[in-house]
Amino acid sequence: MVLPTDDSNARRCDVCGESNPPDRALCRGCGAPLSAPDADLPAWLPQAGASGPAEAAALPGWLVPAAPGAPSADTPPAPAWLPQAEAAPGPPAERPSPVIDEPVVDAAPPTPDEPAQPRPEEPAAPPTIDDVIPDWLLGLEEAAPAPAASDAGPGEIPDWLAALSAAEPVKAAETEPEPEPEFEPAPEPEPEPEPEPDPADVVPDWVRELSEMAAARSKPEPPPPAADPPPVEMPDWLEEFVLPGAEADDRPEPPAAPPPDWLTGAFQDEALSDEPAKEPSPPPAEAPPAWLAGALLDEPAGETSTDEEKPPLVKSDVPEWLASASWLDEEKADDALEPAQVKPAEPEPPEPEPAPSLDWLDLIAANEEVEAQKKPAEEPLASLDLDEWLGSFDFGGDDLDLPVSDALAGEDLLGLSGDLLSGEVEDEPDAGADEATAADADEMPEWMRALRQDDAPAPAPAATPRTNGREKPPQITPDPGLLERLEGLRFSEIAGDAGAGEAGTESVGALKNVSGVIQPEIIFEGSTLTVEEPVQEMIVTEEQVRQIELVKRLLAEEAAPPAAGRKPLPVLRWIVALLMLAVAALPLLPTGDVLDTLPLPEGGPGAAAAFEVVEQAARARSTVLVAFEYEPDVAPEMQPLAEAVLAHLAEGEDTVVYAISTHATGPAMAEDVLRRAAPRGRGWKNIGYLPGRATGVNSLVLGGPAHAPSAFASDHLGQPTGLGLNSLADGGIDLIVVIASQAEDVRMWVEQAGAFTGLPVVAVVSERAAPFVQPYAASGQLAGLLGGADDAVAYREMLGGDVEHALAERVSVQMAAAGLAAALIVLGALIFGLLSLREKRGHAR
Amino acid sequence: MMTLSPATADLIAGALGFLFTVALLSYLIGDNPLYRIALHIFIGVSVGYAALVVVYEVLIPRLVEPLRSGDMTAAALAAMPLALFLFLVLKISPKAAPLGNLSTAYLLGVGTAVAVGGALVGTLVPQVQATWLSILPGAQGGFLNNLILIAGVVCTLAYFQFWVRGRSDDGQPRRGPLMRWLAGAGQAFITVALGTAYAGMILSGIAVLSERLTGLYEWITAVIR
Repeated sequence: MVLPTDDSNARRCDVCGESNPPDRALCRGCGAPLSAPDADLPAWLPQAGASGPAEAAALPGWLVPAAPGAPSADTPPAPAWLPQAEAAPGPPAERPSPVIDEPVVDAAPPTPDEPAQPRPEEPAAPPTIDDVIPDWLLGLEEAAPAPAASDAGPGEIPDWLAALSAAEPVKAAETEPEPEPEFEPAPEPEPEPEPEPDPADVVPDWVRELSEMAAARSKPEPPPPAADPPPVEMPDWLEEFVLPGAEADDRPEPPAAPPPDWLTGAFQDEALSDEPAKEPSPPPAEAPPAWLAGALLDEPAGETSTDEEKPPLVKSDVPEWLASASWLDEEKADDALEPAQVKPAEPEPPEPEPAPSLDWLDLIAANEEVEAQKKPAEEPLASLDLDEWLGSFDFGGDDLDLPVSDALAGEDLLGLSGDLLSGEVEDEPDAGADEATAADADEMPEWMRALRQDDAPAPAPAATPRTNGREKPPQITPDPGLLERLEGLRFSEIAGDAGAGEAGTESVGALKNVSGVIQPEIIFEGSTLTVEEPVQEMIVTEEQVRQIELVKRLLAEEAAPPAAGRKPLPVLRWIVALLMLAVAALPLLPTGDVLDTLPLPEGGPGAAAAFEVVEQAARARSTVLVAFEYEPDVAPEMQPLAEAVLAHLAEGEDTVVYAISTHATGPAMAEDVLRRAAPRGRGWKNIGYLPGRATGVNSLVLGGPAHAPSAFASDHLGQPTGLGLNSLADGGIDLIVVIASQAEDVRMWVEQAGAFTGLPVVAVVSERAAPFVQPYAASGQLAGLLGGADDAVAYREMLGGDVEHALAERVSVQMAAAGLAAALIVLGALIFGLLSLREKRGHAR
Repeated sequence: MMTLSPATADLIAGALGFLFTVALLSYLIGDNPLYRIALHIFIGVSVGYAALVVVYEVLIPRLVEPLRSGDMTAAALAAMPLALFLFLVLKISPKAAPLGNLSTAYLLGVGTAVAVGGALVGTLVPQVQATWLSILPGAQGGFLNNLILIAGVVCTLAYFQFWVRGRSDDGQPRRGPLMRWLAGAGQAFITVALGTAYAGMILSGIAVLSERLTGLYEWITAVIR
C-alpha cells in the first residue's frame, strides 16, 4: 500500500491509484475520470492504494513516524477533534452505525511540514486491498485481532478494510455481506505484512507501546478494577491498540476525564468495564469511522491497568495534542510532552449526561464487546492484513462483532433523533448512557453541553467504570418537562376556557379544520371611535415648524384674491364727457347766442309726407289713433315731435285722437302730451295701456269676443270711455300715428295694424330709430316718417308757426354735439390708428 | 288727504329731478352709491307704476269686473284666462309644474303665430317687393340708389350665410371666393348701419342731456328767484 502523499488535496485515481493534482479531472496515468475526494475520509486515506514506501511521507504528520521508512516527523499539530474531546469527555459512545461514509471527526490533517513527494507512476492494474494498506500497518495486524469491519453494516466500512476482514478468518466474524470495495482488488505486489517486530521498527514508539499494552491486556490477567481509570496519556481508542486480546472485563475503568463519545464508544471494550459483558451496543455517535472501527481490536483501553501493567503509551514522540488529551490519564495530561507513564486510571468522575453517540463509535464499541467475549489470546492485529501502523493498534480482538446499531431505527449521527421518537428505538439501559454521560461531561464540547441543558437533569452518574465504548452509550432522554412546556404554549392553554371556546375549529376558509384559530375581537364598541387618552404633548421640531409655516403661507396665497392693480383714471372719458357737457350747456352759456346763428336743418322727405298725411286727416275730421311707444328717458326728445303732430291734428275741428300705448308708462307720456296739445273739450281719449304687445295690437285690430271687455272700454284711469268700440274697424280709425323711440314698436304696428287694416301709419321716431324705420318708409308701408329734432323743426316750419326757441336751441345743440362727436371720433381713429401702426412697425423691427 | 299745489309739486319734482340727474351723472367718475341709488329708484318707480297700470287697466276691468258683473258669459270668458293664470302659477311647485305647461304653450303658440304672421305679411314680403328695384338707368329713384340698395341687401344677407367650401391652411372653415367678397361687402354695410345707429344714439343722448341741463338751470334759477 502506498502511503498517501503529503499533498492532502491530491486526488487518487480509482483505477490505477495514481495521485493527481486536485484540479485535474482525468487521471494522468490511465486517463480515467477522477472521482471527487471523499470528504468523509481523511485526505491521506483515499490515496491508499498507491504503492511505494516513498509514500510514507504523504502520511499525516502524526502518522509519519509510523510510516515505514519515514523519518520521524515533528510533532504534528493536534487534530481539531482532540480539543473538543478534551473539553467534553463523553460516555462511551454507542456503537457507530455501519456507515462507511461517516466523516471522521477532525481527521488528522496532513502535516504541512511534510513535503509533497511525488508518487511514482502506478501500474495500470488497479491496486488490491493489500496495496492499499501500508506495510507497517499490516504488521500491526498480527497483534490485533481482526477488525470488526465485517460486523459493521454494509457500507459502513471501507472496502479495503472489509476485504481485509473477509480475507482473514479471524476477521470475518459475521456473515455480513462485504461492502463494495472502494478500489478494485489489485494484485498484491506488496509483500506480506511484516511481523510484529517489523511494525515496531516503523511504528512509532508510542504506537508500539500501545500495542504492547494491548498485548499485555490480552493475556489472561484478571481484569483490572473497574474503578481504575485508564492511563491519562493514552486514549481509550489507543489502549486497544496496545492491549490486544485483552478481556473485555479486563478493561480498566474509564479515566477520570472520559474521552469523547466517539472515541470512548469506539474504543471502550466491555472487557474494560466491571459490568458483565453486555450485548453489542449500538455504535457510539462519536465513534471513529467505520473504516477505523473495523480495524479496531477488542482491546481494552487499558483503563483498568495500572502503570505497571500498562506499557507507557506516550513516549517522547507522542504528539503533543495526543499527549495532552485530557481524556487520557490526568497525570499524563500534565506531562503532555514528556514520556508519559501509564498511570492507573483514576476513579471515574460522575458521568454527566450521555453525549450523543456516533454510529461508528458505537460500532467499534460493540465490536469490542464481542471481542471481549471471545477474548482471543492473539496478538493484536496479528491476523489483520493491515498496514503496520494500523496493525499496532489493538482494536479489541480479531473479530469485532459490531452489532447492528439501533440507530438504524432512526438515530442520527448525534443520536438525537432516537430521543425524539416515541420510544421506538429501544435503548439500552441508561446505565451505560449515564456512564457515558458522566465520562464525557468534561470532554463534551460546549455545543453538546447546550443540547443537554434542556434535557432532564442527568441522573447522578453512577460510579461505574468506563467501558471504553463497550457499553452502549447513553441515549439522550428527552426532558419530561419539555413536552409539558410545549403543551403549555398551545393557544388553548394560554387562552384558557375563553380561548378554547372562541378559538374553535374553523369550518371555512384557508384555516378550515384548524383549531386554535384566534378569532378577531372587537377593538372598540359603539359606532364612534373615542380617544381615551388624548395626546398630551406633541413634539414638533424646528424643521417641522418651518415646514408648517410654509404650507400655511402657500395656502393663504392661493386663497387670497389676486391683487387688483390700480385702475388708471379715465381721463379720456372725462375729456369727452366735459366736451359734450360743454356743448350741451351752450344754451346756458353766455355764448349761447351763437346757436341762433346756426341754420336750422331741413327736414327729410318723410317729414313732408307725414305732414301731408296728418294734414289730410285733420281736415277730414278723422279719428286718429296715436300710439305713444316711448319711455320717460327719451321724453325730452320725443315730446317735441309728439306735440308737433298733435298740434297739427288739433287744428282739425272734429279730429278725434285716441291715445294708446303698449308700454306701461306710455299712457303717462300720452297724458303729458295731451295736456299740452290737446284742445279742451274735444274728447280726445287716453285709452291707456294695451297689454300683450303684438298680440294686443292684433286683438285691437281683430276685436275681442262680444262679452269680453274691449280695449276702448276704459281709459288710463279705469274710467269707462263709453266709446263702445271693440276693434279698430268699429272705431272708424282713419290714421295711426306711432310715436316710438325704437324701431321695433313701429314694425309691430306696421305689421299688425297697417298690414291687416290697410290704414296709413305715420311714424314719429327718435334719431336712433330713424335709420331702422326708413325701409318701411321707402317701401310705402309708412305714410310718413318724422325722425329726430330735425324733422320736428321742419314740421314746425311746415305748420307755418314759429319754431320754438327751445326747440331751436335743442336742435342747435344736437347739431353742435353731433359735429363734436364726429370730430372726436375721427380724431380718435386717426390717433389710435397711427399708434397701432407705429407699434406694428416697432414689432416688425 | 293733503294736496299739493302745482307750484309745490313742481318744486318738489324739480328738486328730485335735480338730485337724480346729478346722481346719474356721477357715473362719470365711476360706479358709486349715489348712482346706484338713483338707478334703483328709477327702476323701482318704473316697475311700481307699471304694476299699478296693469292692475287698474287690465286686471280689474278685464278680470274682476266680468267676474263680478254676473254675466256668465263674461265670467266664463274671464275664467279661462284666470285658469291659465293659475296653471302658470303652479309652475312654482315641481309636482304641479306640468299643469303650467298648458299656459306656457298657449302663450308661446299664440305669440309665435302672431309674430310670424305679422313678419311675413308686414315685413318680409313687402320688403322683398320693395327691393325689387330697377337698376337700369332712368329708373325711379335713381339707378345708383337702387344699385346701392340692392347691393346692400344682397351683401348683408350674404354675410349671414355660412356656406363653407373647404378649409384654410390653418384648418378654419373657409367660404368660397364669391361668398367671401359678398360677405365682406355686407359686413361693410352692416358696419355703416351700426355706425349710423350709434350716431343717432349719441344725438338722442345729447338732446336729452341738453334738455336736462336746461331744466336744471331753470329750476335753479327759479329757486334762486
